[in-house]
Amino acid sequence: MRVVTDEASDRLSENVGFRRSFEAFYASELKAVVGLAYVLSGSRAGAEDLAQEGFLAAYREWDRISGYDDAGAWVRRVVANRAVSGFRRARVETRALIRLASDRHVVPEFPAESEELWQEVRRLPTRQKQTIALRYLDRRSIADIARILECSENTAKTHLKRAQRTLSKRLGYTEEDL
Amino acid sequence: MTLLEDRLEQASQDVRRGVDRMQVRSATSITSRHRRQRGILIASAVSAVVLAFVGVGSLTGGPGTELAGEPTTPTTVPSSTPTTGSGGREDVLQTPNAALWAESFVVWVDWLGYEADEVEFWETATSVLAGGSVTATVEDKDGHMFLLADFQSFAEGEHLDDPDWQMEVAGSTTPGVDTGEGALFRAETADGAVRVSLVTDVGLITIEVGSTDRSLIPDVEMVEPVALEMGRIARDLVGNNEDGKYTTTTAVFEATEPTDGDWIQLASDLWIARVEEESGLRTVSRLWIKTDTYAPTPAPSTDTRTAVARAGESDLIILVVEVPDQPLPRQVTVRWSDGESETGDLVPSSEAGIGIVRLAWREGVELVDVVEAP
Repeated sequence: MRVVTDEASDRLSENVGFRRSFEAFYASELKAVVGLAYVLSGSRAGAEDLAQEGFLAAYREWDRISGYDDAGAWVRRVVANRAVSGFRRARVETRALIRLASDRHVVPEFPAESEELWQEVRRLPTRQKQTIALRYLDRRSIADIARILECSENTAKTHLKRAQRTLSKRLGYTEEDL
Repeated sequence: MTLLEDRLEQASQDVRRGVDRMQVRSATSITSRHRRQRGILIASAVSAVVLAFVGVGSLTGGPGTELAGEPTTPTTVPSSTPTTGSGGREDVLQTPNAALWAESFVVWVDWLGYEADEVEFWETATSVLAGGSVTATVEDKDGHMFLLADFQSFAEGEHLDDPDWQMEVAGSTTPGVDTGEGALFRAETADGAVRVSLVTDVGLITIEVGSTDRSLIPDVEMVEPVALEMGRIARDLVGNNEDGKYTTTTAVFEATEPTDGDWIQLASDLWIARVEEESGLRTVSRLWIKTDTYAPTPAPSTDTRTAVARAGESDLIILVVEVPDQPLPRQVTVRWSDGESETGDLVPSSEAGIGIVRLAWREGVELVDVVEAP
């Protein structure tokens, strides 16, 4: 007969709680993070893998991160940085292409106008495109963006303004349109 | 709302709707991947063989030739002649290059899902080996994983375009596949270890992954991009030597042999690692790796624990590393050549002991000084 000690039982409950809290976090945040990964990397096949890398990193640190007010911000920081790294992107994409036998996990295509806009966003300098993605796609405040990108609010504002200015110019908008 | 904002909102909605339609994997994919990566095993006997190889293989000039007692296809070294007096070849073997190679390898290890502080470099693994080889080997803390990245540099004029010669060099019986970096060869050994070789004009790169559980060894297709990436890095190393200098930002890496507790900063990217040694093992912990968008600047810094780099087009990034008896400052001030200065708050990074200041880069003026605020 197998005897479960109090200590083992406590440990089991702890583990179950640990896992459940991560699963709830994962379920509530995953799709938004996939969107962020796609917008920044432009990789339909690799966006989910990039997001998964972020959540895997979070899972390893879950003891610590789960205590944060906004654990999602931590994952977004990881994904925002990994999505703009050429090396990581190439490797994630390679892995995704190997793994994918179907289109199940591929980000679907969007209307051409949206695709063109995101392409322009990806042409921006790293911090600027991250700022745009977090501001509009993720609806983050300037304070949130500053925290995620580990910069001051003023710097985040500067990135946002510069990004808006550059995008407007490239898209043919006038100063009044700003 | 402006026209631009309106369009960004619309495009964001399109993305949100599209992602909502996607089928995504459950959280189980994360927890099982975590277990799988931590569970990669390799027999301690293999570690012993590898250790023996690291010590002895250097004399023969060949990478590890045995795993788990099973003979594998030996990699034929193009030339085992002494490296002295062969053009720039000696320079390739300088310790900074060996360290750079080893640190680059950590990028791959990190990608496989291992934290940098789980990686141990054997002291001898990153040292200069005979036969033009620079080898990095790592194992996880449990001592069950084996990864090898080996670079055998070619002497000037040694490389040939002849496919037969390349097959011989790679120890392959089948022709390689042409890539932008060189001829790629793959070999799956009797014990299931995966080996990929890349013959480039600067040298032979060999990447090998072994585990006692064959199902846990990544597909060879996964290893090939690593070989290509390490091939590019090898080319950079050779290029560095041709230039006769390294593009370090603050020349922290002057010491060719970092000792216990040293923080080292490496060229060509913004990497900081803490080196700890115990019983002859060198542990690289707290590795900080930035993306390839970071371009080192020649800006001076107040001391060797501060690294300064321009990031992309518009960012100035300053990293400050905590050292004993010298906690992180709260702020850092930069001074520009037109007399302007700017102070930024130091934000603790997700890596303990490292703080970051991000400021806007200014075009048309020189960065004169970077000072830690008291």
